[in-house]
Amino acid sequence: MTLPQLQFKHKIFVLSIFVCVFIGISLMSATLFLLDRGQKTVLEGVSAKLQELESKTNSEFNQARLVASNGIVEASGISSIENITDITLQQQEMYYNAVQEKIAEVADNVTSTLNQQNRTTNDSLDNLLSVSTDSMNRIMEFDNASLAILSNMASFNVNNFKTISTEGLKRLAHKMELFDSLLWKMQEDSLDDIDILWGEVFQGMRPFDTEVKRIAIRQLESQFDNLRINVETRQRELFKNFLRSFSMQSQVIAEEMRLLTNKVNFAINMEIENSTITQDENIEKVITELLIEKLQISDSISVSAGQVKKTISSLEEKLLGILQERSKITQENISKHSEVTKKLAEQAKDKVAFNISRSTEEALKKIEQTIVDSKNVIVDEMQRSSRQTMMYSLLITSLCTLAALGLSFFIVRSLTEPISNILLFAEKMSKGELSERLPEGHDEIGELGAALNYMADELVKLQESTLNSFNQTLDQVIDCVFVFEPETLLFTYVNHGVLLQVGYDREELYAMTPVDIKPDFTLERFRGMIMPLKNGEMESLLFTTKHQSKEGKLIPVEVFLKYVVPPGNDPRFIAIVRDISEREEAKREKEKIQTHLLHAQKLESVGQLAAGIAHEINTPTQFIGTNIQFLSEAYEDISSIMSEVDIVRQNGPEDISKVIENALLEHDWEFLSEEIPAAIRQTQDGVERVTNIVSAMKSFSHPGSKEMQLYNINDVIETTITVASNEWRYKADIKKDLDPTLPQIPMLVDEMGQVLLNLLVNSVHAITVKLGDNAEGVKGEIIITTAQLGDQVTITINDNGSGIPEEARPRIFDPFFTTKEVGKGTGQGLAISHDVVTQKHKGNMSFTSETGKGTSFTISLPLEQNRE
Amino acid sequence: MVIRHLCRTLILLLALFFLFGLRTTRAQLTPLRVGYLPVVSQLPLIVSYYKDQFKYVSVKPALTGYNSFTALEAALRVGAIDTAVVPVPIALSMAADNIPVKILGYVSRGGSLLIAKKPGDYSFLKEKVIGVPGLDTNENIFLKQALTGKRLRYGLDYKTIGLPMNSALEDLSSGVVDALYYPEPYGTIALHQGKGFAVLGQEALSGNFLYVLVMRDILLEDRHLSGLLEWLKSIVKVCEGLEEQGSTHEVENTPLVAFDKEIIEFSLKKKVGGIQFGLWPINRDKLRKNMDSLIQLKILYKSIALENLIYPSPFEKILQAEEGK
Repeated sequence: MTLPQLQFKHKIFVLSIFVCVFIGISLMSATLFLLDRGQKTVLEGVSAKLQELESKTNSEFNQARLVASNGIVEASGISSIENITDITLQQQEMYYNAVQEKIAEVADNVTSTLNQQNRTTNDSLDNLLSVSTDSMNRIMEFDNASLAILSNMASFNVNNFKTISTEGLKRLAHKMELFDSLLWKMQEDSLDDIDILWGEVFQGMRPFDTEVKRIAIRQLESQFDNLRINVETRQRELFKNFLRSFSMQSQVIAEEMRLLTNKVNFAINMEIENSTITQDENIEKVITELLIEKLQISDSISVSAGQVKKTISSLEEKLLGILQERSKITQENISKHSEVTKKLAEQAKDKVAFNISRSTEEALKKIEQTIVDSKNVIVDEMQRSSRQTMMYSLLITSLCTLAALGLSFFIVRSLTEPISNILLFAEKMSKGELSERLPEGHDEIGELGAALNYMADELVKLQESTLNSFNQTLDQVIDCVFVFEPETLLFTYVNHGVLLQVGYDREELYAMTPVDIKPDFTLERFRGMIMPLKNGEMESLLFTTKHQSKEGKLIPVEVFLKYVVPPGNDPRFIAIVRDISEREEAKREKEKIQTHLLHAQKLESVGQLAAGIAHEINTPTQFIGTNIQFLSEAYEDISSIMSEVDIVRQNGPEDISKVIENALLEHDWEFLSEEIPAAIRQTQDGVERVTNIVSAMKSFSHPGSKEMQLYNINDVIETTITVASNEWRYKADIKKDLDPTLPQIPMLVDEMGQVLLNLLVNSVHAITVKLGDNAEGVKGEIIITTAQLGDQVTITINDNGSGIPEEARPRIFDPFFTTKEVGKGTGQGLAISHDVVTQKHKGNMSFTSETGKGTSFTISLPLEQNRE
Repeated sequence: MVIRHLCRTLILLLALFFLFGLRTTRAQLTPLRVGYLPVVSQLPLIVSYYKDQFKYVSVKPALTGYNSFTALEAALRVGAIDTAVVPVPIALSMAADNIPVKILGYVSRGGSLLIAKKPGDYSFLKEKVIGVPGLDTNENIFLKQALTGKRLRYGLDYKTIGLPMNSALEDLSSGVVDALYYPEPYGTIALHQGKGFAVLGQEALSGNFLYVLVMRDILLEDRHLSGLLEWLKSIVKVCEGLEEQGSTHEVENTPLVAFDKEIIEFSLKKKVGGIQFGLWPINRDKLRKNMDSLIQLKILYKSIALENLIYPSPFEKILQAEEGK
């Protein structure tokens, strides 16, 4: 049975009115019914006896009717009966008023109690709503704070990574600049100082005409050699330091990023843990406050029920007392008036007897007997009526009491059952069961149900929102986050990174275990590995393995595994998986860069070695040149002497002429006089060539100017050809078609020389590839052409080598791209050349190539450079 | 003419040989790579370098600046630097990972200030977010202990977050955090710029041992002892200078990055955060309590054998020598 959906207070009010009206109507009906029935019974009995008396009197006292008519009337007791009737009616009215008064009093008490109960219940429900709302707000506030912390942490994370990268790069750049400046300053200062000093020493000590000088110059030369060795050693040390520092800074950045990642993960875990504890505490507070409210409502209802019971008991006692009292009074009044009637009847009998004593003696006895019978009948009827009235009153009162109790029980039940449902619902909510809903309606319980349903919906939304926020936060994380059950190992959560990494969708993954994507593991091995985490022997586990994607691709990963037991929730494993492909790739790239750096260092060292060698060669070459010049001059002197000797031979004494002639013949002076000048000239040519080569090498290996200078490109080409002569001499012939009228153009001479050297060496290599073993010693051909076209100077280097493979042509200017075998090419030559021409000289660099026939590179350089 | 050339040449050669000979001698100095952060508590490292860099005879320090304790830790871990002053938790964390470092002692105490966006005492911090240099710093640990005494529960009634030094003040003014417990001079800067107020009643936070001087094991070998002692003597001298009341001449001519000289002077003169300089040996009981707190907070995942981690003898030698004076 359900009540119509009214306001709770209206419902109680209606029920109270209903109870009061029901009890009132019941009592009134019963009283009226009994009174009416008693009256009827009394009247019927009295009438019957009076009719009997009348008939007897008529028949027996016919003769004495005239004489005793007045006495008979008085003796009949009609006035007394009227008096008794009046008394009875008066008593009934008094009884009715008393009952009505008590019922009204009881009704007032019950109404007051129920109103008080209504107010208490309303207050409690208001408190309940307020407490629930406050608690929900507190939970949301703390959750927002946690989300803000996590968001800020993500922001700081990015900021830190940026700072680390920036600071690390700054430190690297600073170190590079420092070492670069130190190196070149030391090299320039030291070598220049030594060269100048040696030049001064050498020039100052010339001529070497004494043994002391020769010894001194040899010792000085040895000391200068030591100096140069020291300089070179220090340069090498500087280079090593530079590489060590570079490597160390890289390691610092990598380590800093690793530490920062660990610290951010630690902070996020801690924040999630704290947030969970806070929410648990708040929910516990809500439950406690709800329980307190429940107890208050229960107490209030108990008090109300007690008061109602007490009121009804009081009513019962009072009604019984009133009934007994009124019954006694009625009985006394009737007895009193019966005595009066009896006396009146005796007086009438005496009076009539006096008049008709003898003639009516028998009739008098019958009348007397009839009056006595009537009196007995009246008394019996009245007593019976009184007993029935009392019995029915008690019966009706009991029925009313039972009805009131039933109604109270119904009211109490109608109040407490929804509240119990609410409490049960709240307990379930506290345990996290948010699926059930309370019935809703327009009364307070219905509104409370709606409010709690709304709260449950909000909590579900909050949970979902929190979960979504965490999920979204976790989805923003590049790393993969897996959560799986400890027993079945089935995944219960994966973030977006996982979907990207392994290619499965979430439904597929939730039916899988970690072993399904880790080909390196069997189920037993995996369980064995995670057992120490479950047993608490280890806090966490960090290992590397491979994940197999849906397409079968193997991805190297680093896995951070942790066993987590959240308060109030099932334990689970959380794995943060990082794709270390890029790290591996970066490692390989780093190794590659280090290899290239090493190669570059070697090239640099070779360049410096070349400079050193050039310097080494330069000194003896100077000796040789000076000595050859001396020998040339000396030979001219000797030749003059020999001319004089020949004159002596021709005109002198015969024995002397003979000795001279024999000596000339013996030493084949004629041959010597022809060959020595030729040998001297050839030696001078050779020395000159050596000087040119050394000069070219020195200028090539020298760092040169960092600013542009006007220079003739033909001279750069000549120098380059000379420097690279060992490369091309036995493999190709070089044909030069250089425009002698070319103007000087602004250029970075050294870097342009490097470009031309790269192209020339590439051409030679291409020819070598095409010729293969080349047992016949066939040579290829390289044609170098320069010309002026408008406001540009063009340089073309054409070879008939192997050509560039078609698939490699789009990438030949890419850094580190090479078609040469490992160790023979750095892959940087053309990239650097392209950069030098296009970026530093604002020129253009292009090529045409035909596989198997050759390649032609064309460089265009502007006649003027923009000063910007 | 020839003789004059010869004489000039010989003089030049002698000069060159003398120069190279000196360089060879200097190359035998103990190389000591010192990492530092630009904060007041690390002034002894910075000032001693700039004051004595040309006076050392047994040691050759090289100074490298970093921007965060994490960067310092990373540099120590990979061996890019040999010594640094780092928070106690970081020193213990490195020891837990078997990084070959030792703790020598303390060269400063205190020097961090708790500031909040609004004036008042600790009660302002309830349900607020407080920025610290890192969760694995003693600022975070001592703040937790102080606020626990005020019935504020760590992580529940308030939260702490590690802030990078380059954004800490901006984070305070923009409301990302409500308070900041940070090494000097950041607190002084915040006060001067009106970005915050010193929290009242923070005496319990003042003068704690926040950082320790750590050094890689290789620098503690006997062959480096003289160099190490010379460097520590320089540190002691600078600490004494910094401790002189109102004296800031020690930091004059020292290029302290990015901070106004007035800010540094104010911080030193007022001893903000209870900053003190000097050499103190390690207090093992305090360090053990410190370690227990770190394990409780799960910052440290295992206990460390302090006997193997602490290397007190250089400090003891220096302190004995000081007492002898």
